[in-house]
Amino acid sequence: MEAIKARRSIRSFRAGEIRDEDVIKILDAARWAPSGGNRQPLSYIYVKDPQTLRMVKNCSPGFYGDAPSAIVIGAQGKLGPIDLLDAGFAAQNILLAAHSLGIGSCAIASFNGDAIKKILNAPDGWEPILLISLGYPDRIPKPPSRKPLSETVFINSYGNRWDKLEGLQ
Amino acid sequence: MTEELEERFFDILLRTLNYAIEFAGERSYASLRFMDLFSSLLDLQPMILREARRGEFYERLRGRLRDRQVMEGREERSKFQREILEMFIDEWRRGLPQKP
Repeated sequence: MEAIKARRSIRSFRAGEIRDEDVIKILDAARWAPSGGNRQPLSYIYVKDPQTLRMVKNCSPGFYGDAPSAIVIGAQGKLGPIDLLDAGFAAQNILLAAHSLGIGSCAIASFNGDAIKKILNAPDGWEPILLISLGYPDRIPKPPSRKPLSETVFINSYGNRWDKLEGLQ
Repeated sequence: MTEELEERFFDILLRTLNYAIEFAGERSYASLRFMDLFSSLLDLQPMILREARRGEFYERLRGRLRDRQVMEGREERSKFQREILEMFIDEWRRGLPQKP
């Protein structure tokens, strides 16, 4: 719970390459994420070459800060909702594993998929789903506000408030 | 210094193009306006980078934009933006050190 609550989206990084050993741990965390029907459709491209990363960043309007590396999550073939859920599960594992290693990260959904594919020499049919920037945080943002549980959780039927949640923040 | 300026100019131009592409599917003028900014930046190139290593590339880009004074529908514009983007990626790849 500590990692879940303390993790932040980092958009400001200090200089410093991430150790390959740490990135491998992070990618292993992604490998162990749930996968619908255990299909495991995802593959990952770890980008750390500065010239390639620079182009990925140029073609990703949502990519902020000078992160020294990024992971591109993608899958082959027509993407269905389960593939996208798998990518979400894997991404959360990546974000939490990175946080636990003192590495900042940010999920990036705004990117030009065709350009990313071309830059990374991805084969036909392979589609990038999500980018995650990785680097050592320069600034840790303050916690964002979250809706109280009492506003988003019901019990037994929609709209039925759960009294145990009242007053919890 | 000049090389760094040139690389930064290339990056800013490409990012501007990607902003235009990001809004291409929307019912607004955002995409057109980013293309206008892109074109204005491109026109600045000979003034700020006289001896640009990529001078010939920028000249080709200006030529493509000149040929497109009249903007057609959204789909045509999108196709054109993708073509320009491919030119950028090809140009970037040409500048990479050759693998042995």
